[in-house]
Order: sequence, then structure tokens, then C-alpha cells
Amino acid sequence: MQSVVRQVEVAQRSFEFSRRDLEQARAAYVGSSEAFDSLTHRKVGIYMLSPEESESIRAYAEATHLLTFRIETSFFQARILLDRIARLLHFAFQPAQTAIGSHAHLARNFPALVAEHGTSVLEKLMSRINDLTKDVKNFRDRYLVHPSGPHGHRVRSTPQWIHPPAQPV
Amino acid sequence: MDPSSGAASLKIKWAHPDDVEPPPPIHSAELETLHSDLMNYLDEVLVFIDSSGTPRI
Repeated sequence: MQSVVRQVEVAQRSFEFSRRDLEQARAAYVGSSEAFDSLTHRKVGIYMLSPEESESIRAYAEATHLLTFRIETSFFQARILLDRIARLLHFAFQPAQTAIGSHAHLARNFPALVAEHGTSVLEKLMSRINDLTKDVKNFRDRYLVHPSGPHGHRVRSTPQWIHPPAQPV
Repeated sequence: MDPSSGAASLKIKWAHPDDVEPPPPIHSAELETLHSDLMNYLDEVLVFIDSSGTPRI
């Protein structure tokens, strides 16, 4: 049981770290986006790309990719934490016939697990389990699965920009 | 087009403004809510476990 508690603590710290990391990546993304806008003034058409504009586009594209990576990391850390909490509840309610292997199973089987101990599930806790299932799923759908969908954000089409060749040293 | 192929590579075709103005892709408030909900949930679960890691059931 101690090792299960320890795994939850590690997952909690990892999730909090990934969340701070995501905040930093978000701030860097917003900064590079604003720098990009202020430098280019959203020009339209074909024109000469200055070294500063080229660098700004590169910085913006890198910040975008980093942010996407951090969103994915944060999502997976949240899922890992939820699954380890589910495992904690499973061990807390042993011995029992009902098995809980993951957060998804917890939402389905927790009432039966608790009933084996002659008590009913706490309504507030069950509500929290279901809300988190929905919230994490929405987070995944909005930012990872359908980022350009009707409920997601649009993305600049950076790949079509062509940078000047590097100057020989 | 090969970026190192000469003068043509010094020009770009800019995206249309409609394609280049996304909102910030993720909101701090949403992150904060998800984080605090997860931590509150963990606190509620820990009611079933005492400080030594032993189940209270």
C-alpha cells in the first residue's frame, strides 16, 4: 500500500511540474506571437522576407511546436495521476471482488466496490470522478484531437513561408 | 522550392489574415481549474487513507 501511495505522490508532482512547464510554454508562445504580429503587421501578398522577420517566424513556429508538445505532456500526466488515484482507491477497498484497473474502470465500478463493504458511494466523490473524466476528455478533444475543429483554436499556416538562405560566413 | 536556390527563395507568399489570427491556444484559467479539480479530488480520495498509508475502510 505504501508503494501505491508513493506512486500517487510521484504522479502528483509530475503533473504539477508539467502544468508549470505548460504555463511557461504558453507564455513563450504568446510572446513570440505578439512579436511576430508587431514585426510583420500581418502583411498580405508576396514580399521580401527580412532576416528579422525570418527569425520571428522561426521563433513563432518553435514556440508553437513546443506548446503543442507541452499540452500533450500535461494531458498524459493528468491521465497518469487519475489512474494512480484509481489504483489507490482499489487498494483502499480491499479485500473486494470488484476490480478497478484505471480511472475509466473506476467511474464504472466504484459504486459496486463500495457496496461490497456495506456502504454507499459518496455522492460528492462520484460526482468529482465523473466531472474529471469529462473535463480531461474535453481537454484532450479541444487541444489534441480536434485542435482546428469548431470548438478548437485555429493555427497559423507557418509551413508555407520560405526563409532566405543562410549567408556564408 | 529549395530555399538555397537563389533570389526566388527570398520572397514569401503570406498567409491570408483569416488564417493567421488564432486566439491564444490554451487559457490559464482553464489550466488552473483542471489543476485545482484534480488536487481537490486527490484530497477527497485521501480521506480513505490514513497518514501511514493504511486504508481506513
